[in-house]
Amino acid sequence: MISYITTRLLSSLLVLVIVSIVAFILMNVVEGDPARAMLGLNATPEAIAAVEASLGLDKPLHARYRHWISNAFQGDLGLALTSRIPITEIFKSKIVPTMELGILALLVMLCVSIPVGVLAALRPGSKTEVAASTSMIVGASIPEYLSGIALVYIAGFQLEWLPRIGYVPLTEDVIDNLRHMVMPVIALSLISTTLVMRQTRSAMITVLRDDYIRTARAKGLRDRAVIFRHGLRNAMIPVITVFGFQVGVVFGGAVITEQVFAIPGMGRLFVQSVVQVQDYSVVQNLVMFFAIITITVNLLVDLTYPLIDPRIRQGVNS
Amino acid sequence: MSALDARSQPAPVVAVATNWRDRPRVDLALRVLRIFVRNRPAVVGAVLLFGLGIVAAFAPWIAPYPPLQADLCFACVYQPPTWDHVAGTDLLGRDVLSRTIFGARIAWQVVVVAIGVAIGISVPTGLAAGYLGGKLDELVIMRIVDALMAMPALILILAMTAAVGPNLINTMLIIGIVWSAGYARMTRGVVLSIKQEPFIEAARCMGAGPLRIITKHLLPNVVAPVIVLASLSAVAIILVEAGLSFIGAGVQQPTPAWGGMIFEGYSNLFRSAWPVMAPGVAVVLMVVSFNFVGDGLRDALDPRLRNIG
Repeated sequence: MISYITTRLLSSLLVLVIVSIVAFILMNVVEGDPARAMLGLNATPEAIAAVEASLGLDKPLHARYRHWISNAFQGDLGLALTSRIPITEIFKSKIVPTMELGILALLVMLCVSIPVGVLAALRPGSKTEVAASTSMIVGASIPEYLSGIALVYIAGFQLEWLPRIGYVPLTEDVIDNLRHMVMPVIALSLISTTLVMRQTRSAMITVLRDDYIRTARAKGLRDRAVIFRHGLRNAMIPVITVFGFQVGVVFGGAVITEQVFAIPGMGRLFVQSVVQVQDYSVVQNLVMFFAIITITVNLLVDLTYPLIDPRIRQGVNS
Repeated sequence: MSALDARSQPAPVVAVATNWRDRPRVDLALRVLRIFVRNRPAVVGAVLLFGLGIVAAFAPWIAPYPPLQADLCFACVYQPPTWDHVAGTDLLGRDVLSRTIFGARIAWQVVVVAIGVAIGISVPTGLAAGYLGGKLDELVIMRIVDALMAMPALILILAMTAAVGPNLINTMLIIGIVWSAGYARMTRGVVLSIKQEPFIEAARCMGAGPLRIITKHLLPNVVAPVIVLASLSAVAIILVEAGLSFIGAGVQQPTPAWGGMIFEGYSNLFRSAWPVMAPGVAVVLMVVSFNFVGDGLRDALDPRLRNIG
């Protein structure tokens, strides 16, 4: 068990290090010439050299990488190239909306997809089941920007049920904050919900055909106990794996959703830093932010396998 | 992945021992086709994709107007659907239907080129890494694959776009590179699961070198899963490409890409919702079709691949 945990931990760390190297190389080798970009084409060589020295660009690559990582551990991510504001400060105000959006979307996804997926598995081959699985495919084909726009148009513009776009901080007004979050969360979770639902359904169908389910029914257990205690628990492994994938999908989708609903979060900052201001130092740190979230969640997912499935617990001991 | 790694079924030894080159392959293709045709949504999807392909190929002849022809008179912009402009006109008075038809070209182009790049990078790498193994495979290739797959695709693509700049060619190449990780992992998985099989052993005993084993014996076994993965990853690629041009990091205006058209329509949504409608329907139609076709192919080609994608 302990060796399983350490292997997982170490391999996650290794992946994180590789991601940081890839992000660093992408942003520092391919980027071109940030000092010239800041000063304009008429800058003197001396001015450029001075700016490069102040940015640390005169040092060799590996020294800059070490500098970035060691400062990051002390909470200093450096200055944004264009606005000269500490990146840590920028991130502090943007992290909450993104985390709120992502976590709410994941919660909605779990609360909807698993129960509906189980229900859809109970009578495989029936008309309702075929209709349900077909509509799942259609649901999985509507990107967040389209469902978002449809929601804004119908619920925000035509019916005026909800505020169309924008964000109110949690600390200011909880109710208003949640009212602003309803549409983004629905739009963002739609695809992932349908995908996890499909996985739950197919895993449950497979499991419910097994011999031990027949045994459980034969010994007189009630349906609910058979389905949840014997069925769902065994179907959980593939479901959790897909859930782990979907965390990345949700946080990646948050980039677009924040754009649709004008939520001032990390995703919107990402798009601005790539498309509008081309601020490589911000992009590099944003990549790490999203990497840390997805890698941590996938590590947690890996660590839940032995909790759910004693076979893995046994297997990892040997 | 587990379904691929845990291939305990015996390989088709019989087919190898008999004259495997001729009959079984034809039978197999027929059987695959028969199962596929029985799957009604998959057939509908295939027909729709074929239609979208025709539309993309013959866009200049099918589209009623040139995609960039603007008409800025007051009554010409934001027209609702009329007989002249079946899907209405946009903020510059351009015909939305014509732009959507030309958008199909971009969508198909991205799907084909990106998947081509992904397969071109990953299948040779995965075959070689899986068969030869060793430190390069374990420590370098698979770790890079892990890192690529640990990131949300959109984040990775955006970061790469930041480095090289947004345009159609870069978008296609970047999507191909990002997606190659998944293909490489799958190819390697298939190779690992069959490289100990007797028919590989037999080929080696007969003096076949690594190159011959990889191309003649391993590659054919990779084709089916790659086809399935290609049709399923087309779904995500269309969504990502449209998302990229929606946020302005993909195909640039005024080139008619669906995502960019949707964004432009969204910016003026309350003036008229029509410019969003046609490209939106087109995206969903293409994605749904690929989903159905992918599912159908997976069931037809190999039921053991059910967990892919």
